[in-house]
Amino acid sequence: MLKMTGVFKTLRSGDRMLEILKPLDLHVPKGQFVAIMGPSGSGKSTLLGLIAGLDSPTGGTIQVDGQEITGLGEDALALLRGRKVGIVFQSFNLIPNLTAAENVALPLELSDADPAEAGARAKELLASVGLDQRGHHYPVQLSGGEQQRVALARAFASRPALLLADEPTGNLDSATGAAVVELMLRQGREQGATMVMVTHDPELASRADRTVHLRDGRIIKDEVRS
Amino acid sequence: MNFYFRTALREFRRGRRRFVFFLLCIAIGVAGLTGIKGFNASLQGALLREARTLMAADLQLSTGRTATPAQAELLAGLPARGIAVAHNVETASMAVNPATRDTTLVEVKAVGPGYPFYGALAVNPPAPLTDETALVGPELLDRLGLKVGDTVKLGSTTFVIGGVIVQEPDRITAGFAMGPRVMITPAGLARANLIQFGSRAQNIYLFKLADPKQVGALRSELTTAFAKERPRIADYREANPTVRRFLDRLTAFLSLVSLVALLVGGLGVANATRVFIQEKLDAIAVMKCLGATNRKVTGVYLTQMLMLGLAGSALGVAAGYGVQLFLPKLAGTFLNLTLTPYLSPEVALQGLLVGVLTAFLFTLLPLTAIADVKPALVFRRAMGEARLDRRTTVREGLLLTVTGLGIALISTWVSGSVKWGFAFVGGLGAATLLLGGAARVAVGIVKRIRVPRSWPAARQGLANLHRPGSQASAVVLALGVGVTLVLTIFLLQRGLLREVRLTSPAGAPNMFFMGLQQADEPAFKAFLRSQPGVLNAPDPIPFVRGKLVKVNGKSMEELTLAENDQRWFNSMQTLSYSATLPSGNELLRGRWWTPADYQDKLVISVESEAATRLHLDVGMTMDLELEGSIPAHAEIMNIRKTTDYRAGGAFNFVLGPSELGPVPVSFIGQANVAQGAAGPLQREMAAQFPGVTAIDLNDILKTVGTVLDRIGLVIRFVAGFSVAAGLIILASSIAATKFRRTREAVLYKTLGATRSRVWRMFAVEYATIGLVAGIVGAGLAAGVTWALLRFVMESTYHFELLPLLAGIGVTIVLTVAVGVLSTVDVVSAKPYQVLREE
Repeated sequence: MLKMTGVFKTLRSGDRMLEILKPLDLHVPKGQFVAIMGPSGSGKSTLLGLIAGLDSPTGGTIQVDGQEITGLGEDALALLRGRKVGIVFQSFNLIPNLTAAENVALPLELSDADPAEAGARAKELLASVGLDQRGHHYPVQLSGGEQQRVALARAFASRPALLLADEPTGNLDSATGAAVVELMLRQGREQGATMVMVTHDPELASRADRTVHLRDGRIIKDEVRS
Repeated sequence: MNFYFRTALREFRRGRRRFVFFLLCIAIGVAGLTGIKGFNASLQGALLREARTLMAADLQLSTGRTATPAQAELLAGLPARGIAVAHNVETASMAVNPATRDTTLVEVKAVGPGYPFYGALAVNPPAPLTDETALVGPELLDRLGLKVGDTVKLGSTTFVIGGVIVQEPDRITAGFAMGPRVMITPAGLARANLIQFGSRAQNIYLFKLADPKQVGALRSELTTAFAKERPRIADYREANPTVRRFLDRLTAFLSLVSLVALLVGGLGVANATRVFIQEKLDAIAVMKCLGATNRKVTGVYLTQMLMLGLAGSALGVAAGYGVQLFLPKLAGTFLNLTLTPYLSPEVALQGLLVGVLTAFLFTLLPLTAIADVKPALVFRRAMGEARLDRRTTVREGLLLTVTGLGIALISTWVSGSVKWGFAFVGGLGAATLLLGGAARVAVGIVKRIRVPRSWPAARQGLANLHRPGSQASAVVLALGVGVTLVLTIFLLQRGLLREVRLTSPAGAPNMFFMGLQQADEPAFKAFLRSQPGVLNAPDPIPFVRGKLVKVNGKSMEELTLAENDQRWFNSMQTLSYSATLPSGNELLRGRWWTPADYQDKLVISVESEAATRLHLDVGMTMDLELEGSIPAHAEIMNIRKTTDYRAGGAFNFVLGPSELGPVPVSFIGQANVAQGAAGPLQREMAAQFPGVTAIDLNDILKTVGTVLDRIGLVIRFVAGFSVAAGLIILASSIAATKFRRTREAVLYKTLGATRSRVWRMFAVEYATIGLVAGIVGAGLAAGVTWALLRFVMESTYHFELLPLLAGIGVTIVLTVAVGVLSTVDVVSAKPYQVLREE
């Protein structure tokens, strides 16, 4: 599903080169749930950004669902995300002037889905995260946990093959966070999605099929649970 | 519903206030434009609708000559063919109050039986016109201290005033008249003996057809019959072509003036869009993360801006209707027309399209920022921190070019002239660059000013100007454009008036006398010199009247002349003759003649403007037909330029003093008369020379002044829209920084500042913006006026500080007023509430 080969990233900082990621390989088979752990500055967010096509590697190749993404332009990447990749952010990133239902329907509308169908699907998704009564509410009217559930529904809207989550519980208290991850797992399993989640919470990571540990831009440990 | 529309509509849910400014920015310019265009349309509509009334006929023929026997026969035969004919004669003359001997210049109109065929002549009290009575305009009674029933003297005889003319159907532009109307009968005209050789009289034939469809046929028949005279012929289908052409030109000019307001509004739109996109960076990045392409996001916001543009334009069209209702009040008594204002669909459509197009052009550049938004922006970042790093690229240059061309397109469309359109864009572009540069420098200087600690309000107020995100330079630029425009128009009007009014060189004539016959000339000359108060009376200038037949062997048809230049052939020319170069002229090419030159041939000197228009030069010939149908062939000996129009030598054509045969020669008398002596002189003159008409230059100047004032007022009113647009931008920039301002105001208050201190702080800021915009705008206005007067009108700019200071003062008052109004809720915010909300 996800295949990274010899991927590295360097940034120029002043007159010296900063190695954010050292050359690494990472293969994630279809349906696997991977947690990426590591201290701040270990490069885990950069790694996720590269997979999402939000940033490009200095070298190496990245394949998502069999498609090479490293050479793609900005718009092609956007279209790819719209079709295949769902993203859950730490800070929810709901669009403030859209209602919960509209936020969920947005990815579908962006890929030119029929508005009625998009609306129906949004309703269904909101129900699946337990917010079927809150569809007409705006983000400011929702609690943090509710917002993240809406964001989750939005990430799954276009049935992505790959779901990326960046510290999805980082802004939530632990009980709410656990519930959100529970929902995410259930949704992902149901849809057979491959999931990559960045976290520094070992508890959360323990729910994953596999944990990749990063330090100083290098994979130092890759453990797969049976 | 389409994705773009749906998403754009959703964007209107929050921050509606900001969109109000966007709307107003577009609406103000569109209002000015549609107001003017709509006014013109309803005026033209009225002219067309009431064309027959305004001509008092179906067809009108106007010529300076009396009909030949053949023409008279044709005219006499028309009634038998179902065509009624009325013959009016118009001329200027002196009217005298026999009791006081006061005089005034009047416009005499002898109306033949049948007049008016359409419309009604309203007289108070209703009285028929007889050969012994005159109907007069109300101003005549005022000027001469007369009342209905009194007698008034015209030429050599007196008339009883039968009534006051309340409405004269075929007089549209009373404001430009030389004097009050006096209406008499043709028999009365003959009795007064007003028409003599050399007097300017216009024969106006009015026709009414039993079958109006035949108007074209009659027109061509008359055109053929009067071919030699080249009369002015107009029929109701074209409705006052001269007036309409004038209106069209004025409208084109005013439209461009109003366009300035729209473009200043465009700057506001660009500003508002930039701020808006800046606030939307996160939402844009999120959309990109969710799979939105640049095209899609740009499409959404462009759709939104176009919707706003359309709404603003619609608002503007509606407000323009109000402007249209107001404009006739400004134009005052110049139009003797009842207008039925209506919203012309073409005008409304143009307003909408121009507004939307402006919104499009000015949002184009700010919207390209969308492409620079990286979706990674929201990754791992809290909302609200995002900042855009702007880069200048080829793309921006390209877009600016597109914007410039777009504006040129709009101005061409609005003014109906490619030349005007591009000149407008060029001028405006240069002004914007100058103003923008000056604004930046001025704001920079203000930043350097160190205010002593003892004056904290000023210290804070000035500091506000150079905060990050301060739009001071943009606001100064926007306000400066409006100030420049209004002040330039004012200064130009003043300069022109001054040019006209400028007292003649000591002793130059300030009174002229028309209708002076050759036989009376020696006596009149002696009379003038004997009168008290006449300081100087140069010899009367002889002249003959004539028409151009051919120049350089070519007739008008053979020459390729602009339509406007055909008038050289179509109207009577006044030719002077002189042995010496007339005063107030300088020779450009060729040489002045000696007696040997005009001994056996006719020589002629041509003024440079006429020479340019008619492509004439030294050595060419001119064929003329002088009054009394006398042909003349003259050789051009020189081209001269009239430098002083007041010196009495302003003739387009001057002949050598050859024997002209039986050509009737008239004279224009001239005199320099001491102040206050004109009245007694005219009284005496009217008694001794009843056929002579005195024209007092001061009266003419008064009329010119009133006309310039009116036109200037209308133009300044339209230009004022651009100042309003600048003020809207000021209000919008204050609104954009409202959050920051409110927090600061609250902090000051928490720290013990009184409301008055907070007010003073903001007032200093706004006053400084007004001061800088005023100085920059006034400076540029003075420069532009100087350049226009110096290079275009070949006059001189007399610098006056007072109008500039007044302009700066008004700007300061307006900015402080608008600023304070936009800040009311900022200052009145309750500290506790604001601090808790944070």
